[in-house]
Amino acid sequence: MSERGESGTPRHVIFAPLADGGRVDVVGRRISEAIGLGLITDGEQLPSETELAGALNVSTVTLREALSSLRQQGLLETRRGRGGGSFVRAPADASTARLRKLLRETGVHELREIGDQHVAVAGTAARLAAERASADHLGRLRDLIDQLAEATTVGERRRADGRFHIEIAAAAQSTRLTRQEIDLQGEIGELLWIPLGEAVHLDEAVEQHREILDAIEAHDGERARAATEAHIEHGIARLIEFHLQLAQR
Amino acid sequence: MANAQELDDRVAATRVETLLNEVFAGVGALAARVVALYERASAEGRAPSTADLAALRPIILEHLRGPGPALAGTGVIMAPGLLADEPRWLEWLRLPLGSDEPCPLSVDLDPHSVAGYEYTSTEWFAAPRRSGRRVVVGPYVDYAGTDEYILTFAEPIRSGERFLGVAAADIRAGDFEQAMLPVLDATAPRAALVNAFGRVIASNSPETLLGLLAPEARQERPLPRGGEWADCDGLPWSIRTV
Repeated sequence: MSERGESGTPRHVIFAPLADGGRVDVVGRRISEAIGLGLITDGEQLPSETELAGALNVSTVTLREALSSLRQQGLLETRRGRGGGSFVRAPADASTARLRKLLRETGVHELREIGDQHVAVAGTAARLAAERASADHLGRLRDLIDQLAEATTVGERRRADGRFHIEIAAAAQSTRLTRQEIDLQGEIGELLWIPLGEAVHLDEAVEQHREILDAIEAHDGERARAATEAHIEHGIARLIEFHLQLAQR
Repeated sequence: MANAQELDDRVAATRVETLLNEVFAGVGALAARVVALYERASAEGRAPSTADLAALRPIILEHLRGPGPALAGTGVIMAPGLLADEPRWLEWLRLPLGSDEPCPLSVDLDPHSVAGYEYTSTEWFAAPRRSGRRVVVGPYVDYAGTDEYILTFAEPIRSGERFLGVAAADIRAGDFEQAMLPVLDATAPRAALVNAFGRVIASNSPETLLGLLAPEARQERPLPRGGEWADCDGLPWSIRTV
C-alpha cells in the first residue's frame, strides 16, 4: 500500500482484540492512544469498519460509535466516494514528536528503575503526609485535584498532576523527598501526559488522586502509601507498554 | 508552682517576642524603602523597575549579615504587574546552607512551569495582601523557592491603599529551634513550642520532633503576647508540655 496506507507494523498491537469488553470508550481510547503515540500517522487510512470491528472483536455498532466520537475530537476525518474511508488527522506538534522520541529511546529497564524510585519516594511521602499534613495542606491538595479534573490542556493536566505529588512530599515535611519528587516529575511527568496517549487517563488519575487524599485525610498512612504505589505503578506499566509499541516501529 | 510556671511562660514569651521584633525590624525597614522608591517613581510619573529595586541590595545584605537571629534569606517580593520591566520579581538575597557567600535567590517565575514559584498563592504573600497584617508562616518545605525547611516572617508593603508586595525574612527551622531550646529547657524537661496548626517549631523531647504535628498535650499554654503583636497572623504559638 501507499505511504498513507495501512503500513504500520504496530497494527497487530493497536488493532489486537480488546480484552476488556469492547466498550465504545475503550475502542476510542485505543485508537486515540495510537494516534497520540504516532503509531498511526497523519493522513493514514484506517482499515474498513468491518475489518476493524473484526480485528478488535467488537460489534460494528460499537466501532461506529467510537469512530464518531474520534471524529468529534477532530482526530479522524471521513472522506466519501472511491478511495474514501476514515483518515487520521494527527496534530503536528514538535513537542509531541520530541516526547515520542524520548519515550522510544527510554528503555524498559530505565522506565522500571524510574518507577521503582518513584514508588519509594511518593509512597513514603504519602505515608508521612498522612501523619503530618495539616488543614492547609489538605486544602491545597483538594484544589490541585479540582484543577486536574477541570484542566483542558495537556500542559495544565501535567502541571496539576505533578504539583499534587510534590505537595504531598511537602506536606510530609521532607525537603529531601520533595526534591526527589520534583526531579522525578521532571523525568517522567511529560511522558505520562503525552497528548492522547496519556499513560494515566484523566478520570482515572483524578479518582486515584482522590483515593490518596482520602487516605491522607483519614490519617491512614498505609492506605495512602498503597494507593500511591498502585497509582504510580499503573502509570509506569502503561508507559512501558507504550514504549514497546513505539520500539516495534 | 503555678507562679513559677507563669514566670517561665513569661520568659518564653519575652524571648519569642524579642526574636520576632528583631526580625520584623529588618523587614519593616525594607518595606519602608520600597514605599519610598515607589513613591519617588510615581512622582516622576513612572512605574518603578528592577533597576530601582537594585538599590535595596546593600540594605538587604546588611540585614542578612546583621547581628540579629541568623537569617537564611531576606528581601522583597513584588506584587505582579507592579514593576515596569518584569511581571513578577523578587529582590532577595540568601545565604545558602553552610555558605558565607550571599547570592540572589534564583527561582523559576514562570507560572506555567511545574516547579514554578507561584508566590502569589503562598501564605506568606497572600495573607499580608489579604489582611494588611504581618504573618509568620512555618515551618514548611519551601520547594519552589529556597528548597529549604524554613519559617517565613512577612509584612505587607503598602503605599496608601495600594499593595506593592511583601518584605520578608526566612529563618531555617533548625536554626530557629536552636534559638528556642534554652527557653524550652527552662520551661519543662519535655516541652514543645507549637504553631497555630499544632506543628512543632521547637522541642526538647526526642519524641516530639521539629516539623511533626505535636501529640496531644498534657498541658497547652498559648504564649502570652504583648500588645505589639496584635497585628501579626500565624500566632499565637503555644508551649505544650509533652
